[in-house]
Amino acid sequence: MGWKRWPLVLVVLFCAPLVLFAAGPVKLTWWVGSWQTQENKYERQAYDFEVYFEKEHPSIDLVVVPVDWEGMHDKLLLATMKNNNPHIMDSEDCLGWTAEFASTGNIMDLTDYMKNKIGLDKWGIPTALDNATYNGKLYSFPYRNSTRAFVWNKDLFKQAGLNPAAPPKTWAKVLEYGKKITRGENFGFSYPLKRFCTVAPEYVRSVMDAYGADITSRDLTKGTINTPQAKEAIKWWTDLVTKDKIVPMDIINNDDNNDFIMFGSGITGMCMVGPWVIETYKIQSPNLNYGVATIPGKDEGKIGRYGLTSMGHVIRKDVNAAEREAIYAFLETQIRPEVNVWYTDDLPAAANFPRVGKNPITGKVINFLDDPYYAPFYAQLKGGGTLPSALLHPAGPKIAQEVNVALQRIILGQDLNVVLDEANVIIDDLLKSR
Amino acid sequence: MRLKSSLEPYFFVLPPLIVLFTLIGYPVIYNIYLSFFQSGYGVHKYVGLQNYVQAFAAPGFGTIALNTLIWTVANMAIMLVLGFIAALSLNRDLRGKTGIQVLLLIPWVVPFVVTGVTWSFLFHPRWGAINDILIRLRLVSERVLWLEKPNTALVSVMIAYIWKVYPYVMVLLLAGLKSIPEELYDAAQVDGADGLKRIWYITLPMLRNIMSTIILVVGIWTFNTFDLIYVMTGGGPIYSSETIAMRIYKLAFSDFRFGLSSATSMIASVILILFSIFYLRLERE
Repeated sequence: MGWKRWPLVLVVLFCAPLVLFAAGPVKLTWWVGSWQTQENKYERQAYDFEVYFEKEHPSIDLVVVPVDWEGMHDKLLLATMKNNNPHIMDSEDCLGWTAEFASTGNIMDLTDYMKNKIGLDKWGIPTALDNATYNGKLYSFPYRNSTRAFVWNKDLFKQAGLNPAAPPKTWAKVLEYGKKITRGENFGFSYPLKRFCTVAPEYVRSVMDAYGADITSRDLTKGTINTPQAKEAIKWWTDLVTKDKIVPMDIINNDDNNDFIMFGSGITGMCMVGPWVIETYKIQSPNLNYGVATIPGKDEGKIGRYGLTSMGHVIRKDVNAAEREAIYAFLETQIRPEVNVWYTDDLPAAANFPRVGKNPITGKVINFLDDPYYAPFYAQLKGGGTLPSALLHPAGPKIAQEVNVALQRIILGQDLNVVLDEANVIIDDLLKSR
Repeated sequence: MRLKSSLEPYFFVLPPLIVLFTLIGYPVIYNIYLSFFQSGYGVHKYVGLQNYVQAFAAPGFGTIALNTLIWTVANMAIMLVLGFIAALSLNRDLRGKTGIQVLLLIPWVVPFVVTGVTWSFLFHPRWGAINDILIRLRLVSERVLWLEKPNTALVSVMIAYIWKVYPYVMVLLLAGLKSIPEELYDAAQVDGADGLKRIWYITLPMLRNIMSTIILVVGIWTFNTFDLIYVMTGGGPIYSSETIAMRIYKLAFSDFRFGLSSATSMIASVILILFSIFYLRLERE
């Protein structure tokens, strides 16, 4: 070959990999929450989804990156603040994460896409879309919705002379039954109150909702924790510890995991748990004789409400056209009922999605409708038993801490009116600060 | 070409100086810079001394400052006393002295987080061994809420901290004791000095330098302790076990107010620098 042709050869050799690279699969990075539940269930489901999705879309390379729950929020937020976030991230909408991420300006506004391409009625759970909204726009694509349900220890009920097949339907009954159960080492009820436990305020909100009160206004412009109805509800809630003594003082240093453990150990007769705890009880408390029911309400015949525990996917703002199409394909696959049933396992993206199906990768059969431990969660979700989360503001987690500290102060003997008035001032400032 | 001999030493210290500046100097300078800005959530605005004013005016700051003082002074005093007693005991001819020394050193090698988790279980009102023992010995009639009550939370964390750190103090004091010439004690004994007098007039003065080092170095570590408090109580209940170090962490990684966190850390640094200068001057006098 003459020497004059060598530059051409070199150019071809240099450009060939670039062409091959450009023509290769579109790569999407997906940070998946690894909640370290039994056998890392959520991680494995993500890998199953990766196999399923890539088979349907061979031109897309989906890279699953598990992110440990410990420190997950900080890692995701810092990455988003620095515009180093991946294409797709799991976000705990209900914990205010999506509001925080959206306030950085580095995640995609999905309003038009979800309204026009998917259709908002697809989800059937209005509170899921509330949790995904920040400043009137949708920033998260809800794919898993959950809530708490009410559990009761049938053996402790029997010991207390109560009907073990009949859980309380109202909060007044919870107090009545709690008084009968509380003796010796046993307590009737419990709830978490550790300062950094951001889900703890959702527990008191169930009772506040029954009294027609809430921590903030629905439009998140002002605090409402010191209204007369809120004070009445919080007095009732804290009296369970100080006056009625059906809740142990340990709760001051308990997060929700400690709360589940106390019930699982047979110490408390009633509490509220999430569906992920059912698996844990099956393995770690196999002799626990308990039932699951919907959350008590103010009156008989009306189920109580709990803040929706919702998760969504948030999307990086700066993506090219090919990546955008690939992301849409990912989201549309996630929201298909026959996929969502095995990917989300315990609770669905939409209220009317089937809860019976099969994982095509592992062959695992899913059937939650017939399972008495899971069916009440589904009934809670479908029966309007959810509230939008209390934390839908960038300062949400900080507001949760202030609520926890306020309840601690009341339980430890400080004046309720003074404490709640002070807490409301702080909440107002936090709502205005971001 | 051979460097001038006067320049050679600088050539050898240059690499560690570069590392020191990169890993310590630059973050410190950036921290000072950040303390004059409102920084976080995509905001970066110059606010002058506002962060410093806010740091002092923040709710609970008085409690936190007092907690920090109690935490540092009480921990140091107790560790010095316990470490001194243990060092004196180990400075004798004891059978199995090496084994005892190793056992006493075990807490020092346990990581802070493991210490915190373990002591949290020990202090648990329901499952903890401490309440169980106290009730069985009839020293208390009902379970003590060690980490759940404001008046016991800080003390409980202090107990865990002393358990972990006093072995280090003991080892340093033991090394100091071994360097005291025996002849001094012999001479004192001849003069009729008893044990306590020998400790007061010989041992303590001879250990003065090492004690100064311990008070300065371990004092600063104690002031800056964050992980143990975070694991055991998170600074609660209310603010009863929160110290300045915990507050700095919370402001940065819970509230994402990096400017205010930097200003608070600068205040803490100035307190420690002033303490060090004052203490060293006092020692010289």
